[in-house]
Amino acid sequence: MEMERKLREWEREKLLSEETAATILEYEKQKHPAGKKTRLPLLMIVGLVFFTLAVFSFIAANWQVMPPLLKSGLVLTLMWLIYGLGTVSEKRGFSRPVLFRLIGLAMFGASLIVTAQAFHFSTSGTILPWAVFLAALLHLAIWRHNAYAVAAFIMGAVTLAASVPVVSWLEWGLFAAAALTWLIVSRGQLPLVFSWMLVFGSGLKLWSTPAYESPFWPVWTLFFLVFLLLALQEEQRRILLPLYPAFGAVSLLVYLSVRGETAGALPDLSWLEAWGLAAAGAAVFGICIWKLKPAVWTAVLGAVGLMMFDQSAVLLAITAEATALGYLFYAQKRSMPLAPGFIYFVLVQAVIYVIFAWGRMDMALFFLIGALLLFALSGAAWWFNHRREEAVS
Amino acid sequence: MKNWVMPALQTVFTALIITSFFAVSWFGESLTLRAEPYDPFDPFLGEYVMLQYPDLEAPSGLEHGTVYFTLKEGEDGYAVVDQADNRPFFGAIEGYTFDRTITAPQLEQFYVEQGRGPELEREENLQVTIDVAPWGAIRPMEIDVRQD
Repeated sequence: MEMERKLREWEREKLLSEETAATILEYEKQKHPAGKKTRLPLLMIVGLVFFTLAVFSFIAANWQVMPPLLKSGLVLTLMWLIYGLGTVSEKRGFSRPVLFRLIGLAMFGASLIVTAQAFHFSTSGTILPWAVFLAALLHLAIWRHNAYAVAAFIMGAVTLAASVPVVSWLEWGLFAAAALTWLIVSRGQLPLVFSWMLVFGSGLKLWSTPAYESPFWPVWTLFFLVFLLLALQEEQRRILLPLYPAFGAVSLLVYLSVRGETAGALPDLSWLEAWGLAAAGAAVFGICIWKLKPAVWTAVLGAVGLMMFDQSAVLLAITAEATALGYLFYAQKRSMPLAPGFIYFVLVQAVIYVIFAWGRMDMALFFLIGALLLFALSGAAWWFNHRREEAVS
Repeated sequence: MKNWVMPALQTVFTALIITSFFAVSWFGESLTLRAEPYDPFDPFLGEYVMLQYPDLEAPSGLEHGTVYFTLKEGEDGYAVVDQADNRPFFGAIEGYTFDRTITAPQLEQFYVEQGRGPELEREENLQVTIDVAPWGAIRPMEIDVRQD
């Protein structure tokens, strides 16, 4: 009725021709024939809500005395019911099937928690996140919806966190293989980015394995990911390439902060590994110049190993400054967005300022000078951007 | 068809987990451990009792950290450590040293009915019955007040 009224109104205002209005009306009549109500009656909805509440309160009241198998069975039944609703929703075209299936996935996690608790088992292991992580990946493979990619990424991160502080080689290998497989078979932007981040995360996880204690696992992982790009398709590379300078920049900032805040030599630092890292950095530089230019900034991290020693630590600050300025000029020259470069530049100044000024001056003066510096840098960024916009117009 | 693959797989997985719990009892032996509660409180996961086991003393020479151990019934009927090593061996329970005793993740907490936690907290002497499978898996079965 409302639609008919609006169509008449648009017709009167000459926004629609008479024929178009008639065609729309005809289409709507065929799509939603009169008398066939697709909505549930209000009373029925209210009744269903009360019925559900009654069932849940009954289960809650008797939860303690239920046998363990019945508890698991109840949650599994609920899971089946929700997947059933997902199928009906898909076939009848109401609501969103993906929502029901995500709830079904959550119910699977709940069934494992309930089962572990009912049988007096610890829920602190990695079986639960592993199971839900793999289930989310299978959901993604079957239904190809980005919501499952989000769920898989979250559960992948939880799986990584759950095995802190110690993880066996077998579990680490399985996780790295799962994340790598996901990365290689992914085509969409979101699954590619998420799987790439999980592969990077599995590199950080090497700190939890009984492996060689290296302070440079993030750099080694990034270098491995650069080489991996060569095995990926062109479209996959295009999506992933912006991640390299971003993760490289954050890694450099972290190394700068750690070096700045650590008195004396860092543990697990060796000249041999530092030179190895520099050689790998040179190789990465060569590959990037040859085929993967946007990732060339990652090669800078190859020098980090040599700059973490007491004698060479000042070079780390100089490198951070040089890359921050260099990237700004690079972005300006290529008409790329300047915001990421500016943010990185400001962060480098902030880290260096905190390292050198913290504890050396009065707290109020520290914040005042810091705020003035930040204000000056933001002003410079605005002026720089303004000039560029003027030049373009 | 594809709509039912995931719930079916997930149900099979949960059933496998449940079966593995029962398998511990089917193939394992039952032991009773002397236990003491020390922090029976969790606002998120419901009521459970945190437990430590005074009889499970770490043998001298064992490094602190991850340990692998087996249990046997002691002279007084309560379980004690049989073998313990820092390297894994078949049939061993994976655990870790806690102060001068040994414990395992599955042993350190026991979920109880709502309202029973404070009652067990007041008791200093508890006992926990567990089933131990030949492959080292354990299944906590029962917690009760110790009568000795």
